[in-house]
Amino acid sequence: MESDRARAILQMIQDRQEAAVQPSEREELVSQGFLVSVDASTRDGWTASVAGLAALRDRVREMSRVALATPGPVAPPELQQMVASLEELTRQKTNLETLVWNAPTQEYFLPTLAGRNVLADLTTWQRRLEGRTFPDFLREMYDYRAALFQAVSRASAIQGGLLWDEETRDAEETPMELSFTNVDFRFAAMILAKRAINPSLLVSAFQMFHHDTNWGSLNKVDRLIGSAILASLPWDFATVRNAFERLRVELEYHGVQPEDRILAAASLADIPQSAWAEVLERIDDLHRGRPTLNFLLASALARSPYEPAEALARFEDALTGMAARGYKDGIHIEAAASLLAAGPMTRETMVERFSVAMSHLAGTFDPAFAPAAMIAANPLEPLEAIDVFRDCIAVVTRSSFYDLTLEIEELALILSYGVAPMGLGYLAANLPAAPPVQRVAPMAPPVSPLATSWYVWHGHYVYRPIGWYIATHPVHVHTVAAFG
Amino acid sequence: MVRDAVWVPNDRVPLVRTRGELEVVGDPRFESFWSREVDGCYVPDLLWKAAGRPSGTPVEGVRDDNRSCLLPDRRLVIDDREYITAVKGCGAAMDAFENVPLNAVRARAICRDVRLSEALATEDGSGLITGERWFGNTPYGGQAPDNAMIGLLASLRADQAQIAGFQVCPVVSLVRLPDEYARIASRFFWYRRYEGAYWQEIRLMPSNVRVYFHSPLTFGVDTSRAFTLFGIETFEGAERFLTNLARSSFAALTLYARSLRHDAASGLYRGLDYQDVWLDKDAVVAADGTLHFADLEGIEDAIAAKPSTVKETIERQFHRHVYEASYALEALAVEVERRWRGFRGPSDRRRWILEVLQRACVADPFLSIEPTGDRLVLHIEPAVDTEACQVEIELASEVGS
Repeated sequence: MESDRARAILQMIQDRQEAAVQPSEREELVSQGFLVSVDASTRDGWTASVAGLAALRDRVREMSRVALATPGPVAPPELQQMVASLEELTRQKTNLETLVWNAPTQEYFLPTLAGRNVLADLTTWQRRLEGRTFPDFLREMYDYRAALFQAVSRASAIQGGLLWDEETRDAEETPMELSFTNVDFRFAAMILAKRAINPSLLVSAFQMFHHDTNWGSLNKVDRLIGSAILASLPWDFATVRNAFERLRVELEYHGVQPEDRILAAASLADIPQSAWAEVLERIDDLHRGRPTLNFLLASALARSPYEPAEALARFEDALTGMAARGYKDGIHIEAAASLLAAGPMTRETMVERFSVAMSHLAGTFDPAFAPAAMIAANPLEPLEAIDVFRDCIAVVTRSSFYDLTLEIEELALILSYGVAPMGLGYLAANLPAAPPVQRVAPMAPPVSPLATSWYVWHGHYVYRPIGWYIATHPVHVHTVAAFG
Repeated sequence: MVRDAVWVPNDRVPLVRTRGELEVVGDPRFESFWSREVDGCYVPDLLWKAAGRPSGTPVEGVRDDNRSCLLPDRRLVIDDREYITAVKGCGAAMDAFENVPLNAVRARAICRDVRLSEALATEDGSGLITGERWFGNTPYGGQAPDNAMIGLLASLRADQAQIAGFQVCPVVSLVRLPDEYARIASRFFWYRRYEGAYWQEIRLMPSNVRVYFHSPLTFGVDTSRAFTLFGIETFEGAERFLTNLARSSFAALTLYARSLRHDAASGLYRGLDYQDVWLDKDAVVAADGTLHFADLEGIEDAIAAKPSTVKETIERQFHRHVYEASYALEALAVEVERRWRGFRGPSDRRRWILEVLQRACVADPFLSIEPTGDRLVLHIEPAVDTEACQVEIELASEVGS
């Protein structure tokens, strides 16, 4: 059966319309639990039983009142039995209301939770269903979700390794003010887990960057983000560190302030050395065109497939369009505008996509502008991207990979980066192993297939505010003096 | 099968258990428990040190709200549910006027006795029963006898931790703080001195997870973590949890109706009503979802002379608290959607809640939920004079849209 046909059937049955399901289609849907088959005699039996529901309910209520008025805690067995029957009849009544007749097979169908879930998937991805059989669609969705769980499982192993290493390391080696928290390590672990290699190698890589790099800074968050991104690159330690340090020197020559150089260099470290000159030249051009642009925003634009003038024009368009919708002022708005301007979508649609993402993310991040732009700027349709993000929330939550509730969305956003089902993954690397990936078409030289700079933006505009919130709020925020 | 009690770890609180000649008022049904398992009073160690360290046994409590502690190793099974002992009035954790711990430094700052102040000069620890008159006539950090007695009286109306289907955290006993401690506690206050005896309330709780406020983990705020704590791992498990939460919440919303009595001699109706208490901070959620009301000192009889007043009280009670109950149900459904998806948007989620709610209450003798046109109507039938006092309340409007 084709996926479109499966969607049509499930939708009609959900809407309580007859769907003329053929025997072969029936087998496919019933055997996998997307529909339950109910024969006519069972349905008639339910109808007859449910007719007695009101009378049974009245008897139960009457007996319950008597039982409550009688000393003794336990309801009489007869009453307990009647309550159980009443609950069963209530279920049958609900079932009866949702039964749909199917003439070709002379039976009724009952929609199930699994059927509702697969219908939701088919609806979200319906633009991608053409030519895809239903079994293929199911397998691809299964593989994609399994890969998400595997990624979180890897992240959990990495975080465990990072914690163990931190706890057993000589205290003098890591001063208290530079030691990381569980929340910090989960953030780093989620980035590292996108590489499907032995977690212990990633732990070692992180710790080497963390401890054996001359950071020239005591900013803990910069070192966290920097170590995570550098360790996530699929090259040997010496090569990456060498590139990182040389980039910092280059950045100094280009007037980047010392406090910006760690994140700036980390955001460029995935770019081949042959493209550095062009990227840095683009950054200079962008700064000349808009001197107030901070380095992170400029680097996002410089890495885009657009020439600096066009990138700035897109940036201005994004700002104007966002302001027209009431989103204005502030560095987070500018960050969102730069991410949109650097994205692959057309100028005409970028703010519209952002608005769609904002309407779904409002309240989940504080503020939600940069995350909404990250989702809007990916190659999926906005609602598809939101769906992937929600899948990632479900996986992080069900895997209990968090301590604080406010971590969940932040981690899910990292997990969702680059990921999609049905071969729609949009990076060439740094992805969970299972889903097939789609290469980004070659564009201007600064484009890197790794695109780890995304983590810099996430770290700066999503993780850092959360870390600040956690650091400045007492844990027992609910214990207050008054009341109780 | 016994449903285990669950509790969220919180700050450890050093207490000293004092036994001996104590004044105790207890529920006779729990006498073996309060006279053997938890007998004694529990004073914060700062107060014990100020008293010159009289004989007593160190006990480690777990902070619950501001003036209570859990004793997790003191447990009792009632029916098929396990409860943890909680002591209310064993010292406040926080300063009454600043968001800082009530430690020895803070205690000395409110101490009206030089010798006591000097005695605490080198002590550490935090948590104190004070003599500040607070919220009417209650000692801050302790418990007043009248409030404690109201709680016990409400609890005495319960049969196996429920009053006609309304689940409570039973108060098993009240213990009077010995004079040697009361005299000292009364020397610590900010503005106004409390005049009266100092008591403690020993109650039983199935968990320390409150609905929205006043616990280290609350169901409304930290729903994800609550799911993990309660071991909810499947959609079906979540639906069972929702069923229990909905059933017990609606029992709480109709407490007056289900506890209504008519006194033929006086011609008055009496039923239980909430005073200065709320479901969001004064109720806890058990591991199976059953809401238990904890602060029974805020539940008292409300009197009505005629059926119309009874109906007004039923309606007022429902509308005063329905938002809190609905919030908990929504929080659960939102978390279910986050984890397992399965709903086509918020309206589909609400439809699920209402379907489960109808099923959950189908055997409730005091209420029924019926679709009427595109509305869902709650029919409340009080325990007495049903014909004259029954109430209909619109539970949901334009259902399906």
